[in-house]
This record gives sequence, C-alpha cells and structure tokens, in this order.
Amino acid sequence: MENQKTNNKESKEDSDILVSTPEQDELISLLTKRFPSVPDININHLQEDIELIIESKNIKSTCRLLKDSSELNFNYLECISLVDYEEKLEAVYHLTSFKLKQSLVIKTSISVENPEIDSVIDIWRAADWFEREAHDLFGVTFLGHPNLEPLLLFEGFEGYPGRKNFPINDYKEW
Amino acid sequence: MSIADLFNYFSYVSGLFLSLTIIVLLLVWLERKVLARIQMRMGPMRVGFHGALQPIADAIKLISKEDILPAWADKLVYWFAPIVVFVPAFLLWVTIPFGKNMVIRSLDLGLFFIVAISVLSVLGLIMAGWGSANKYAVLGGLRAAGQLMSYEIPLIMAILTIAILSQSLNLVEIVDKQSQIPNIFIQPLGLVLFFIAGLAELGRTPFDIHHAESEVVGGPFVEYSGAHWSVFFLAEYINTFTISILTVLLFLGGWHWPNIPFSGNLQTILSVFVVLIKTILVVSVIFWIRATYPRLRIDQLMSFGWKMLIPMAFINVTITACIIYYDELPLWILPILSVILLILSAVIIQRKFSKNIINTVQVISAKSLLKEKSEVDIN
Amino acid sequence: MEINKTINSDNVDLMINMGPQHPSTHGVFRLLLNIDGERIIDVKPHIGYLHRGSEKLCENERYAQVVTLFDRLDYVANLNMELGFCLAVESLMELDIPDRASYIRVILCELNRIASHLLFYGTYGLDVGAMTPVLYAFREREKIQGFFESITGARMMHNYFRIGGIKEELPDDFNNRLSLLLDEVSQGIEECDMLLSKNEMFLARTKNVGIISASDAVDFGVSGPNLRASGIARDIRVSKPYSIYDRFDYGIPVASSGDCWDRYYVRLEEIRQSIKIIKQAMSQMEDGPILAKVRRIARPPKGEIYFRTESPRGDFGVYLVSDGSDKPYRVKVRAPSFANLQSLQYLLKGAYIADAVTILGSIDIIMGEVDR
Repeated sequence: MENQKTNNKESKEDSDILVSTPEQDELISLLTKRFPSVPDININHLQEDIELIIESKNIKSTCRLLKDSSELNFNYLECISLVDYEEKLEAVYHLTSFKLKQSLVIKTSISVENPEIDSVIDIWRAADWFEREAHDLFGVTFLGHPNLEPLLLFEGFEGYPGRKNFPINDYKEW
Repeated sequence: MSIADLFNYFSYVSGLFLSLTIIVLLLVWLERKVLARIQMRMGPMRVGFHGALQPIADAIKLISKEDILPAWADKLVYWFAPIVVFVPAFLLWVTIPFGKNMVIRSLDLGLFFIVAISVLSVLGLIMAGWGSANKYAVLGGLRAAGQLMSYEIPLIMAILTIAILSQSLNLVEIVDKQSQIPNIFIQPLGLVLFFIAGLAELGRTPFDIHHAESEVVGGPFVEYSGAHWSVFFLAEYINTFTISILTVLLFLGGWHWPNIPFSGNLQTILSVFVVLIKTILVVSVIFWIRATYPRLRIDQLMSFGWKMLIPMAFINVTITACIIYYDELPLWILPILSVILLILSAVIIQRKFSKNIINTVQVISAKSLLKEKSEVDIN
Repeated sequence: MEINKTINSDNVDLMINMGPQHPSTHGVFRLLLNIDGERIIDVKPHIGYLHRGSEKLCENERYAQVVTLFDRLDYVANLNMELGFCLAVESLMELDIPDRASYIRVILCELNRIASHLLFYGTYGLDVGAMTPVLYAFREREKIQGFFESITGARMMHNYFRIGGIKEELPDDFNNRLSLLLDEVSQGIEECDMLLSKNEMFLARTKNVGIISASDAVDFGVSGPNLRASGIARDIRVSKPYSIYDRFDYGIPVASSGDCWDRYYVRLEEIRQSIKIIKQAMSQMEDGPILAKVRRIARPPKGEIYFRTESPRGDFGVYLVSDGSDKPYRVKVRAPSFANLQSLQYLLKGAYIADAVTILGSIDIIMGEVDR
C-alpha cells in the first residue's frame, strides 16, 4: 500500500457537502491509523457510509486488516456488488462492524480486459455466493475461490448478462 | 368341496370385501370431516349430503386415472407390491368378530393368526419402495421396514398380556371374558402400549415417517398412481380400522360393555352397532392425533420404541404372567401396578422433555438498543 | 441428539436430489444430498431456477416502474420490498416524505411482516409434519391479505408505494377495520402459539437442531430473525433507523441458542412486536398530504446509495447507482434470503434427512428473492 499516496485532507476538501458525525470521525481516525498511507476516504453523506477506494490487488490484504484488527473488526460482509462502467468494472464491498455499529464501503476497479480480483472467501464465508453470482453475471474471476460454477445461470450460458453490453430486448420467442 | 361350499366362500369373501370397502369410504369421509372441523373448515360439502358421496367420487376418479409405470421400475415387483400390502390387511378379517356371533371363522389361534399375517405387509412396502426405482421410495421402504419391525414387538407384547389374562387366543373368547370388566380397567398400560404401537404400525401421525410428505414425498407410494395407489390407500384404511377394532375387542370390552339387554337377532344387530360405534370413537382419536401432532424423527421414533415401549411391554407381560400364575394374589393388584407403571413412564417422558420447555427467547426494548454503541450479543 | 459434524465419508451410498419439485423446499430450490443411511454427509445447494434478471431489468425501467419489479422479489412481503427501493431513491433525491405517508407505509409494512411470519409459521408446521398450523396461520393471513386488497387493490403485487409517498389515500373506515383486524390477529397468534410452540414433539424436533453460533452466523452473512436467534440483537430498524421507526417503542426478540426453535419463536414474537408498532403508529398518525412534491418522472442526481431496511427475512439492502437520468444505472439487491441460504451448507452437514427439511424451513427463504 506504499504506492497509494493520496492525501486525505484534499479529498475531504473536494466536496463541500460532507458532514461527518463524531462516530465517523472516530472511524476515520482509526482507519488512518490502520492505513498510514491512506487511500481515498469519502463520506457518502446520504447513508453515513465511509468509502474506501483502493487498488484491486490490495483487496485481500485490506479486507484482512479490516476484519482482524481488534478496534475495527469489520466482521459482517453485507454485499458484494459489481457495477459496469463500460470502461471499467467496479467491485463494491459493503461491510459492517458490529463492534462500531458502522458501515464501510470498499470500492475497487477491475479492468474489463482482464477481470480478475482476489477472492475474500477466506475472510468472510459470506463472500461465497456473492462472488459466484458476480462471476456469473459479470464474468469476473475471483482468484482463490474454490468453486466458481454458475450459480444463477445454467451451465453453458453464453455471455455476461449483468454487463451493459448484454442485449436486454434481444430475446427470441421459443 | 362341493359347489355350494365354494359359493359360500365366494359370498363370504365378496361380502367382506364390499363391507370393508364401504367402511373405508366411510372412514375417508369421517377423516376429512374430523380434520376439517378441527381445522375450522367445512371439509367436503358439495357431493351428496355434507359431502357424503365425496369418497365415491374420489374412488371413481382414482380408478379412471392412468397407471404410470416408471421406466426403470422393476415391473413384477412394482405391480405385485399393492397386492402384497392389501391381501394381509384383508386376510385378517377372517377371524375378527364384529359383533356377537358375527365372525367368519372363530379360530382358536385367532390372535396368533392376526399377528402372523399383519407382519407380512412390511414386505409389500419394501417391494413398493424397491420396485419403484426411486430413491425417495427406497428410503421410505427402508424407513417402513425399520419402523414396522420395531413396533411389532410392543404390539405383540401388548396382545400377549391380554392372551395371558384371558387364557385364550380366540378373539370371541377374549371378548366374552370381558363381560364383567373390560380389560381397559385391568390393563390401562396395555391399552396405551397397544394403541401407540398400533399407530406406529399404521404409519399414522406422529409416526408417519415412512411416507412423510415433507421429507420423502410419499415414501414407497411416490411413483404409484391411479388404481394401484388406491389399493395402498384401501389397505391403509382397512388397517386403521383393524387396529381400532382390535383395540375395542381386546381392551374396550367388544360388544359386552355396556351390556345389551335384548337377546336373539336384535342383540346381534345391536352388538354390531356397539362395536362399530366404539371403533369409530377410537378411529376419531387417531384422526384427532393426526390433526394435532407433528411428526417424530426416525431416530426419536426408534429410541422411543426400543427404550420406552419395549421395556414397558416386557415388564407388563412379566407382571401379568406372575399375577396370573400365583393364584393367591388378588387381581386388583394388576390395575394398580399398571397405573403406577403408566404414571412412571409418563414422568420419565415428561422429565426428558421438560428440559426443552425453557423459553430461550427474550425481548429487548428497541429504545435501550438504540443507545448501545455496538451490536448487542446476549451470549 | 448431539449432531456429530465429523462423519466418516468413505461409504457414501446414496445421492438424493431434493427439489426443485420437492414439496418442502419452499419454491424451486434444489439440494443435492449425499446421504449415509439417514445422515447427510454432503450438501450442494443449487439455486437460480427463478432467476429473472430483475436487477438487469431495473436498468431499463423508469424509477416508478421499478417498484413493480421489487414487488416480485420477496413475494410474501411485497410492501417491505417496495419500501426498501422507494426509501433508497428518496434518500438519493433527498426528499422529505410527508408524515402521513410514512405512517401508512410503516403500518402496511408491519402488517406485511406479520403476514410473512404467519406464512412461515404455517409452512414450518407442515415441514415438521403438523398439518393444522398452516390452516390456523392462513386464516389470519387471509384477513391481512383481504385488508391489503381493500387498500392497495391487490392481494400481493401491490405497487402501492410511490417515490415520495404512497399511491392513494386510505379508505374511510381504515382505523376501525385495522383495530378490529389487529384484535383478531393478536388473538389468532396466541392460538397459533398454543397449538405448536410448546408441543413436546415439536420441541423434540426443533430444539438443539441446526445450531449456528453467533460468530458463524455473522461470518455467513446471516441476518434478520435468524441472526437474532443466534444471540445478536441486530435489527436495522434499531441499528440504522430509517423512515420513522425511531418514533415507536417496541421490542426486539433475541434468543441465545441459535437452533430451529429459537428461529421459529423469534418470528412468532416479532409478530407481537409488529402489532405493537402498528398500534402506536395508528394513534400517532395525523391527516396530511400523502405524496411529496416530486416531478412525475423522478430523476435522482448523479450518485449512489446503499440503503438498508429490515425486511421480514433480514437486512434488505438496495445498492442504487444513478447517472442522473430517469432510469437507474445499476440496482443491486442484497437479498437477505440469499445470504441466509448460504449457511445451509454448514447447517446440514451431519444432520438427518428429516432435519434437512426442518432446518431449511427454519431459515425461511423465499426463492423469488434468492434468485432475483
């Protein structure tokens, strides 16, 4: 994480609508302590969630730290969502810490040409089906996942229906 | 054997078959009505008076349905299984009296005959399970085998106590012995054992494990349809009626209690009614249990059978035999011992279950949770 | 009844295909069970038989139209689904919802929670082999469905919540009928409770069966009543209060052992708490507008939101990405059943076949939501 040299203060000044609660300030200070070379920290002012933007290769180490550190303890993986921005794919991890009663969003971008990212199944077993679903619908390979068989689609389905370039009205009557 | 004899036999068989079929139709209607009333429904109402003809409509529908043979089925076994189940159920009625002087053959070894023949139906269930070439059916067949074999023992034991008490295996004699006191007052434990084991033999709730719809989807009968399935159905209801009437004959005094004042033909007819009414009461209890209880699991069923029913049945047989053997002991000891044993076993079961009746759910006020800094873990 | 989780798996002799047409898999769910006698050695769940691509379809509908798609996710708690989506869009647009609309929403959602839990109660009775509970439960549920019909015009697929409020004003006799309904339902709940909860055989079938510890449950992403049964008092209505849930005084039922009976009873207790909420909401509700001032075609600003609500099955999250147009750019639904169902692989190992049904029933899944 040495290569991520983004200044925390700058990104805070960027947007003027950020209002953080004392609990969030506490969480941010904890996060900056935990990740000294801090990535972007945004506050999603709508849902009181703190966003952490990281590089995709760091996903596993970051998640491991977030879960194992005793003061953060993000033990609950709520959801793994993928968003197709056409030029890139974005993986969004929603975590909750039962200890802090705080939520955290981790965002990382995945290239469309080589959609690969480390699996977090060793950290949260909840990631199992979320990753399989993402693999199904977006064609992202989760390295280290033991079983990436189709979950929602049938075996041998062509294409990735979650992506924007998958035609929606192009079905044949049968 | 003359032609007249043959005709006689034929009329017996067809008469028995007809009356049993009518009884089964009656039971089907009764079951649906009893269940419906317990569940606050009306039950069948459209066909005939209060749906009285509904079973006939069902029967016609079943017979006119297509008989499906699964592609991988063992054809011979598959088609024979319903017969193997049905014939013993039917055969039992040769020696079961359903009124005073109303019995086809009053065999001296009647109870022995009943026990021996009723065991055969297990074979049919296993055949059905195996022949269907269906995993659920196999599973159901195996469950049926285990269950019916295990509960055969307490059932026979309970019958044995009555045989010892009455000094006879002839059902008519057993009933006649009860003209003063029905066996229920001498052998309450025996009645309970017989009834529970009988429920398990029938595969009725809470022992309907081998054809549990929510687990093995009908068990051995899963692939059957139409007429062949209806034969199983017929056998099941005949068996229900058999166990109920045996309860009445062995424990509830048959046609002797309450005493019928008349004599001659009128008495015979009335005795049939007395037996029938008592039997229907017992059947209603079976339906009532069906509407109330969930199903046991196979291991719980087995442990209940082997650890509870069989020891109790053995103790019961031993006590009864001892008291009958030593003539000087008064007979009233028997009901007292029986009741004590019954209470004892009830207490044991209560003990076993009472540790489960702790309410582990507590309600935490949302207002207090709102103040917490972190999620509350009550453990 | 201790379930031995480590069983020698050398002699696997039978593989059973449970579902998708099995009567007790609660929809089109398929389980591959490797069994040794009556013991389950290995489990392989298959889902996706009801996959309709709802999330993709959402990207091609206007915001108001998406509500109908959400109706069809958890098809026994439709209004809770609608609420989740509407709240997500509204907070993305930073809309203020009129109080009356919020109260009506809460009342209807809690009623829907009751209906959903009643369905669970009935089918759970069937799963353990008791046939009467389902009829008792459906008697009550039917009243609620009828009540919904008189308000929204539909028994199930309501499409009643709008972005910014609700579709139309309540009928005149709403209060009278609702209080009558609540009386009947609360009486019915007590009857249901008496019928099944303390039945010895039911206890024997469900106590100490399918135990999941709090840490395992959290690890699997289990939420809702299932998580509360394991001892964690997490309810989104309290943890991250949304809508007007902070105005009511109610309780969160929490159990400690995490077995099937706890999961069952937590739901039964929740029905009582929901009735409490509805009664308070009824007394607090005042007249007023039912729809905020919104443009006919909602165009939320560019941005994204992850909105959590408490559906009857757990944390229902809607991740909504907007690009400023009249259609959502991306909708991702975090379905509680989906995460809850994952724990099944863990729960079923070493259990009996009969317990497979009991445990699956106690998780209370809705396949429409799992497959989306």
